[in-house]
Amino acid sequence: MTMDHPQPPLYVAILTYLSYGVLIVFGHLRDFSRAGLTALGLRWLLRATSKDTRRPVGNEPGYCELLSDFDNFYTRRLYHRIQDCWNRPVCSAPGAYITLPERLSDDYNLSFKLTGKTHRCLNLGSYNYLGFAENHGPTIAAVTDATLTYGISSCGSRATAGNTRDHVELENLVARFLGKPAAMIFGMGFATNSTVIPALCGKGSLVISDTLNHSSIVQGCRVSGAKIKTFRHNDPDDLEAVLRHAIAYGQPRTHRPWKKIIVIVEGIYSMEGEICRLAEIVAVKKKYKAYLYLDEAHSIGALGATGRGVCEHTGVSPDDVDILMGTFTKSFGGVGGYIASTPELIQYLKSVCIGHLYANAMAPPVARMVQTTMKIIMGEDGTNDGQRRIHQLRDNANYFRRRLVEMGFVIYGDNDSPVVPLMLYYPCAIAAFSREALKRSLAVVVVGYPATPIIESRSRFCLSAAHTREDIDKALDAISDVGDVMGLKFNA
Amino acid sequence: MIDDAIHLAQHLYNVAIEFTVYMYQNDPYHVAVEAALALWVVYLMLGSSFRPSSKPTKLSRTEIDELVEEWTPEPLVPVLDDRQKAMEMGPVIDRVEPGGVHVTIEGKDGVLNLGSGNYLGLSGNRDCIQAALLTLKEYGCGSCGPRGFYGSVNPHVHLEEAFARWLGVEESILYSYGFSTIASAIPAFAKRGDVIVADKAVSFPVQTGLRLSRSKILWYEHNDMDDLERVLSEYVAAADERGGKLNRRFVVTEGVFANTGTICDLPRIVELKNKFRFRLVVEESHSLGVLGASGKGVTEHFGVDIDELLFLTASLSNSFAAVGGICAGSSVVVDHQRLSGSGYCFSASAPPMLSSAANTALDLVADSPAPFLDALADRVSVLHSSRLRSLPGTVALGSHRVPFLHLVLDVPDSATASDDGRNAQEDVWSAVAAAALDAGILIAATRFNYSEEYFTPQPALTISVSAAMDVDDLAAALATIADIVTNALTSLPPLLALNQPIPAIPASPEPPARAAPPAAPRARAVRNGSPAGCCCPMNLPPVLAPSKLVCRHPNLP
Repeated sequence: MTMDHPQPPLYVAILTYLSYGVLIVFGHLRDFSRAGLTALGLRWLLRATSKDTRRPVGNEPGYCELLSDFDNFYTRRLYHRIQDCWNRPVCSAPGAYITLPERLSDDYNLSFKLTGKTHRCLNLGSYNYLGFAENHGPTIAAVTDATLTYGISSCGSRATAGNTRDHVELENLVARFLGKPAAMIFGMGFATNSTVIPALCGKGSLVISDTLNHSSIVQGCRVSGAKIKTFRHNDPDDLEAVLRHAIAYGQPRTHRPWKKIIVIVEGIYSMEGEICRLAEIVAVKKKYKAYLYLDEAHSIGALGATGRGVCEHTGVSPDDVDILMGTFTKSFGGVGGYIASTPELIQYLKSVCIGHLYANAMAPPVARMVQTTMKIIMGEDGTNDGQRRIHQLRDNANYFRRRLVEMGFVIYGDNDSPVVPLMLYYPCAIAAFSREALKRSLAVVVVGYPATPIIESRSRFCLSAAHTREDIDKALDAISDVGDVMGLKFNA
Repeated sequence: MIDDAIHLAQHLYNVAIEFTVYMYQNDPYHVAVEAALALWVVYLMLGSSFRPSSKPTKLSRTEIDELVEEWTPEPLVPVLDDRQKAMEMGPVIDRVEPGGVHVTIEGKDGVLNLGSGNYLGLSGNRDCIQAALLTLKEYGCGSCGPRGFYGSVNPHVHLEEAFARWLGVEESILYSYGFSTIASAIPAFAKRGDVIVADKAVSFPVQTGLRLSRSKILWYEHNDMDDLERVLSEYVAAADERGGKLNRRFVVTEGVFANTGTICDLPRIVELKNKFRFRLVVEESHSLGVLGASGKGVTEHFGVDIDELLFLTASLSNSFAAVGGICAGSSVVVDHQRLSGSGYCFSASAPPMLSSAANTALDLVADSPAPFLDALADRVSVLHSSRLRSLPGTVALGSHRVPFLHLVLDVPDSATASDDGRNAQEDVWSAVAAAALDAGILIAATRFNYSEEYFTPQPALTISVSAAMDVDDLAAALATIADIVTNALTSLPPLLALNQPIPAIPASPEPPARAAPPAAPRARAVRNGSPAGCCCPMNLPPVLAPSKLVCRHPNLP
């Protein structure tokens, strides 16, 4: 497994900073000229030439600006120029191929208009790891049946009047799938983290969180009132150092011992494609009597010989992880999240967890969808379709990763991980890569600051069991071509 | 040549200096922050990227080992008390009949559902199901990605457009979950250093938004406009005195309060927020599709221009019988959330079929609101003219226009302030709900996490009506509930001493309302807000419901 990321050549780092410098200078020049024209009383000229037809909101006289120019600088002057690379509308199932309506902007990307044409692209962006984002097959029949049984929503929380048979059955199935005695489901993956973590720790507790944990975990920790420390991304040695320090010196100022310490890690880091070094982290957490909370949003279904996630992949018993969390959005083609743990913990969550007491229940048809796909993965549908998908995904991911490395691209992440980030570095490469890929009928995700460190802009590919070897080869040819045009093969 | 170059350089230098001075005069903080940023970039480039805590280690290795050996953490889960051990989910629904009015629970058919927020009867609506299934066959179930990364499927976009068109706003934004909508929308705008003035009765999702914003939170008494004016004017006066840079200021309220069923006094709030230059945010989960001549919520109800609101949010799980949340406002406000709304950016989008169902529900209401709203109004009046409204020993909270009613025990506030008192009240309502289920009626006792609420709400029994219900069935069910409640009140634990003792219950199941002391209904009418008061919003009587909210944190920020 990779410990340290491959580093870019020095000239790339310098040019990247320089590019940001140029963008910022030009952004300020534009702000400067706008401020100048306003100062000269030529606001009408600005308005006459501006393409912004939106109702001016947020700068009413006598009020504080709703979005201060400074906070907003990055959005206005950097993001808006290239916002065509995100929020692209989709008019098909997000399967191996995806159909995107063509859109154009006549106001410098402030707004878009659909041209009516569509563009079928190979989909390397969706979290459709096991290929269940499809509009045919047994899942559709099952969801249809559930919709006819329950309607769309149970219009209530599960604690009051929104609990259905399918919710209960899904919980039992999740527990069985993960090899945990009990489980509980939530209507949204984000809300699972952001409401369960506060239920488990509070003042006097310490959370030790991987530096690259997802925003929902960060939000949950913030709400909880627990003290938060971070350890270096995926580094058990650093975790050990942080734990030793924490236990030795106790709480800040009072130096009382911590009530409890919860270590929070993810199975696969969605922007890095790295797999958690779970076995070593479990050894550390046992040694220091900490509790372990594992977020398997991206790894459940996608890792392990039978799709049981990072525990199976690293040979760790699920009993050694105190709390298993995951989502149904990715491998299971549904929506929502789960927690699997001891019966006591689940019973406790039933009485205190906000996401359970106050939030609406998961839509029952979606609960049926997840049950159906989970049973396929477990082979309980009587076929080997689940196993086939898991193998196909593994083959696709490893082949794709190996070929990209061979081509000379800088690639992050581990073997077997279906998330493959390709480094772009330059801010200007973000949009260029996305647009060039789109021209070659590839739908790719590109990310830059603030989702990544400022010089580590990247394109993040997600492989799927729905891709065939021909699809992958086609994608590789196109990416290689774009890489040549843009000079991205830094290791060639 | 060289002279020219020097000249040019000098000129550029002068312009730069002038610009800096200009910026400095205009906004010194801006320049300071930019300069700090520049230094920080240099620091980042020169320094190593990560340093573990540099606190000087005073303990030796063996000492730390000993401390580690000694340290015993608390268990991950506290020892559960008997109550927690017995905590159950709601009754398990096996089947929902079209219209959502009747459900099958544990093999028992035809249970009347008075427990969910399906106000317009669109749960299980055939058109909505049809639309959802068509979408399912075209797009599959899950969207497998956040909106930013190929998760903006057509039904999401169409639903956003439909809501914006219907409400008459520039744009709207769809979140995948109702709970996360307001909890993300508030912190997208309100930050540390800003101030939010909020009603004490706002429900938990709103409170989550307030907490996440890290702004200063000021509270006003529930729906008390004089108190709102006091809070606003005191804050503004103090801020003016302090001077300094203007901060962002918001008033946050709910259209119909989920916890009390009251309608906010929107015209007064708008008047006050304009007077004191605050921006207004309204949570409309229980008013959208319910209030107003065409169901457009509390703004239409009061004839207030919707542009007075910075934005409104609503869960789609009530009137629109789907899952998700919507936030509507101006394009500037909506656009900003597409990058800054955490529940939008960092979460997968809703399965498209749910959005299609919501869109169909919206179309049905938008095309001809009258049948839905008239039917709902009839059921609402059945609800509020029932005996439940004036049951001795209880207080019915909420406006007579609202399709749900909270029944709470008429006990002193001290009974709600203590754990035991709340537990005893919850037990009463759970027993009532269980007895009602035996009688073929699904109702829900409220479930709160009291330790997380800013102010402790009183345990209640919630009874919701739906436009699709048969009026006679509804009236009969309400009478049954009234009997069950009356019955339950005969054996209250000593902890729950009622404010006014109930006379002995006659042996026959006579309507006990007749036996009530004459003074009681009047007292209750005041407590609940008189019907006239609800219909004529400008003349709201002092609402006493806030006395039901026991403040636990007098010094909360």
